[in-house]
Amino acid sequence: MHLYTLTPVVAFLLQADADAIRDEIGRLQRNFQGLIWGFVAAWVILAAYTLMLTFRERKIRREMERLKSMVEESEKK
Amino acid sequence: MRFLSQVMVITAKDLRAEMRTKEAINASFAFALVILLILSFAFDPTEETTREISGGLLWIVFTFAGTLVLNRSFARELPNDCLDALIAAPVPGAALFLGKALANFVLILAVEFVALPVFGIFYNVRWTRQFWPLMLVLVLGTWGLTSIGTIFSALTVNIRLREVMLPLLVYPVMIPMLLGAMRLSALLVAGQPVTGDDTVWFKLLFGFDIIYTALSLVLMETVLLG
Amino acid sequence: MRQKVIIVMLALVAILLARNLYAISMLPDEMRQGQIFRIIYFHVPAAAAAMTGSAVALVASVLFLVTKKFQYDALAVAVTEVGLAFLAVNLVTGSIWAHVIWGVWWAWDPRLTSALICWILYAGYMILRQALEEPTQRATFAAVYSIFAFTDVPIVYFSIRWWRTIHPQPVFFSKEGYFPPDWSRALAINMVAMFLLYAVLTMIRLRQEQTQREIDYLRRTVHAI
Repeated sequence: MHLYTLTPVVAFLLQADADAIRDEIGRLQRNFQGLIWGFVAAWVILAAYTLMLTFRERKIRREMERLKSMVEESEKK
Repeated sequence: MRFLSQVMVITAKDLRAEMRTKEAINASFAFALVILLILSFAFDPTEETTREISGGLLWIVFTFAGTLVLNRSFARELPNDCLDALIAAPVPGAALFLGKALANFVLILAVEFVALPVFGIFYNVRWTRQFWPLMLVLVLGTWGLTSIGTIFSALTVNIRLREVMLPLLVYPVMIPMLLGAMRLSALLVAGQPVTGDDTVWFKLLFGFDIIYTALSLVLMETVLLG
Repeated sequence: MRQKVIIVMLALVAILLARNLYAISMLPDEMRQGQIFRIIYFHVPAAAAAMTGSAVALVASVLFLVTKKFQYDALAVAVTEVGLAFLAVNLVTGSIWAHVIWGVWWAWDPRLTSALICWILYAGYMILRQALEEPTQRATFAAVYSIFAFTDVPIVYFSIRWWRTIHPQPVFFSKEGYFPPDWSRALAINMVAMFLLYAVLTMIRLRQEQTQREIDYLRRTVHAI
């Protein structure tokens, strides 16, 4: 009989613990997700800027080629 | 002494030109009143909490209205090549800067002295309780605004979007000074004396004014010739 | 020669960062804040690099005004533009960090707020340069503005710190105290890596700026013919 009255108490205690554990797992997950997002953001920004630089480099090179050929043409004349 | 008399000539010229047309100063007065009105919608003046922060709001009004005056400062010289004449004049750039800065200072201070009573009425604050410290804050803060604003006005006078570029460049540089001025004004307008930790803001305002006035005096020549 | 230097430095950066990623993942969790604390390895070095960049830009601007040599102007632009990207990294990682720890996307703590103001100052510099077309005027005015703006950086930092200590706000983390030595070493290595990355990007941008000047010169020559 004592076991019968004890079991709900034990079950109740275990339940409370499970909630705390679930909260902790949620916090850790959010924490880890935040870390991943942070790293992703940092790398994305740096990569985006590097891409901007490469595009500008290509544009400048094209302009350079065009101008050089124009100078050569006008010199030939 | 020649330097000072040159400065006075330029200040007198600017003030006289402004007083004859009163363009900038009227616009500035009106703008200040409009902003005060709009702010009183955003922050309910009857609430006690608003009255506590109201000193900070004052500086929003002063900064925006002051920008109108500062913009006109060099824009006024554009028609008829007056700017070229000024640059060609045998006046050192520093004297030109100081002359115009003093004129702007007087004008903006005038606008502030009009805006302050109106503010007192709208927000129902008796701002005269700490009158002289408040005046000191006003003078220091306005000089910070004016010194940076005058040299940046010269910088932006020939740029396409001059009216937008000037605030955009001036406000971020002014933030430390605004911090100090707002904090001190909020205290003084509420009638509380400035004590202890908060006196650091006075030192900040002094230091800020000195540093930026020195920089402007040195760099004005470069800006005019650039 | 320049190309080789850039490639070597890039390789160095890659090696350092890869090694550091491994080291970071192996370190034990920080007690109070958990995994997210590792974001410091990007957050702080990015800010440190950007602030150094602003000092370099200040010196370059002064040198340009004194010597009128355009390579100093090119250096100022390059350093400021790269600084814009690095400060963006600092702001975004700081924002994510704040969201994880406190649930708010932005915390008005002294360092983040100063970084934001610095970002606005850098952006103002770039906008001013875009608005001016004549190269000499652009370089001169940009140099004057950057002297004003970058002299402001330390003033901004101190004034906001005073503001925040007088009105206390939650502090991000205290660097003093529980920073174990192996953490410090990893942080130092990442600092070096970020600074190197900053230098590499600046050199690339610098070369682009100089090429752009050559293009402008060529264009004038072609039209003159």
